[in-house]
Amino acid sequence: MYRKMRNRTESYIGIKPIFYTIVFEIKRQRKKFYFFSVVAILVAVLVGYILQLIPGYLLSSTQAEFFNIGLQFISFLTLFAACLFFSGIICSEFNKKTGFIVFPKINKYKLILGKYLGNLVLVIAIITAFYFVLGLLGFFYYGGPINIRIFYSYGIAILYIIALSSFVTFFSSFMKSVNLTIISTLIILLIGFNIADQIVTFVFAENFEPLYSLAHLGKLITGILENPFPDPRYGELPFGGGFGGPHTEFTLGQWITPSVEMGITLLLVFSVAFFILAALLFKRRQL
Amino acid sequence: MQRNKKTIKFYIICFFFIGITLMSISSSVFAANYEIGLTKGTDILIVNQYNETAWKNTVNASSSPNNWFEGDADTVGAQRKTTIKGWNSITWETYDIFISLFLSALFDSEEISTLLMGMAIQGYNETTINENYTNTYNLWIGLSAVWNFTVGNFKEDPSIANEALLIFQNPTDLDDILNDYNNLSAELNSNPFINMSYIFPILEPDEFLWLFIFNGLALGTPSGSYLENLITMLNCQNATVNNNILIINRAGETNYTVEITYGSEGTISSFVVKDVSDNIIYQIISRNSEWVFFTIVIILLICIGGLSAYLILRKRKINRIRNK
Repeated sequence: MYRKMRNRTESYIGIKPIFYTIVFEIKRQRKKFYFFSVVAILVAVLVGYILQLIPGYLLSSTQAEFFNIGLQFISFLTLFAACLFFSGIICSEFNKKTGFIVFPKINKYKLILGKYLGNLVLVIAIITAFYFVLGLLGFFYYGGPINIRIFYSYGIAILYIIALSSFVTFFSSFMKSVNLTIISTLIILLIGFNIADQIVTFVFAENFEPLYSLAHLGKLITGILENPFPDPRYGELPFGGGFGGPHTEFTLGQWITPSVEMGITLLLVFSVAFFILAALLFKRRQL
Repeated sequence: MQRNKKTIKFYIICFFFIGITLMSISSSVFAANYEIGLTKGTDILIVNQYNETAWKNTVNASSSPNNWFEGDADTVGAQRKTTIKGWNSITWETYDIFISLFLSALFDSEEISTLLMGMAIQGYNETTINENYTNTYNLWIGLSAVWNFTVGNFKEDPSIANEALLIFQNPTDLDDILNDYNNLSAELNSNPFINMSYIFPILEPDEFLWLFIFNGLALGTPSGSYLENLITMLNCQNATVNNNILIINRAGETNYTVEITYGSEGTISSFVVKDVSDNIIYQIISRNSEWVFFTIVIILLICIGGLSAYLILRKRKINRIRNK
């Protein structure tokens, strides 16, 4: 009995610093959180309500289509939020030399975990606000019940945030400054993956799906809302005419979305892999 | 001097803006007597009452409400959902009206394409019809997604993704429309090549109104005055208007009345069939869930307000303790 109680107290004492760090991080990042929350709500209201005030701008036929259109901006939102919230988790410790303290007051891993979880709570809260406003507007225009697939989409969005955050945390573990981490991750996530995807699709067409790309995996957030789920998931858009006349037709291939099983699995794999890499690099950097 | 100049400038700007505002208000008033009442959103119609025996004895022994409304309209509790997606103002010529209003209501799509082909061969195409019938009509076209009456849950995709709602900006236009249609129909019916396969019915005003009610009629607002104008100009013999309720006297197995109420949006909000003794044979009522949305928003605002007040008071308390 006594041992049980002692174990419980010890584990509580072990978790306590993480909990305090989470609270501290949430307080520290609150201005960033307010800013992103306001932006998320404004974007949701703009797409879901303000645009609908234009009579000629047609409301989607179904609630799922409405959510699909509203969620087109979520990849930008999650991407910027992930880069700005998670970029400083590890590298700021070394930038401010606190990472080199030999006898720290708090276990460094607990500190990093607390910081990460604090930021994750904030980013998930931002995305939740976005989904909530969109869901509310969906209810306003279409009545109940809310389409179940919006909840699937929300789940995938959270998974996507975790994958993005682990990717940014991984960069943060070896970059020298926060700004450098933000810029490099933004460039890779915004431009790098998309260019690579297009090159791969151009070269291999439907023979190779760009499953390495977080940008492609992110398409599952909106892809899951489509009814029926896209099949085939690869499509080609024909382009004709142009300068060379009507015979210069060519097609532009595009992967619409990853499959649900593959998408979820890879998001989990990415999350775990980048966390492990980040932890290893963090450990090595301390030596 | 400088101050005077500023004051004059201020007055000029004020007059300019007031002038522009008045001009825009007056132009909109004179441009159209009626406004569009459509709002984007979803309305649900529910079959509230249906007396099958009374229907068979009064309306038609061999028909059911399914002849008027698609789906399970003959089952109490069945629901029909309409989502208004948007609208645009447009000007139509006689050919557009002929195709979109009459042909689509009287024939199916296969028949329409055969008919149009035959008409074109005989020289009745868009150009010639519009040259002979020169009226133009201003209207608002609303687009809606419609789920037909169903007893269970609605399917995810609508039965009709784009159904048109036609609101003529001037209800008096309908008289010209009917006259043009009847004249054109008489012309087409006299053509041996066309009348060999299809006959265009010559429509009485009451028949036209009945046809139009089930094929996209929506009203401008105020709907009462709009309905009044519509009935008067069409010279309907069997229709009367009471506020925003259109009452149509019809004859089936016996005489009966159909009362159609148009809501603030200008679309059907209730539909009642009564026998001569005023007993309800069939009734459709409407329901929308906007109040649930506003309740959620109000609760949310109260929560946010309460939380903000709590945080402010807490901060004040902390500051007070610190200052002591």
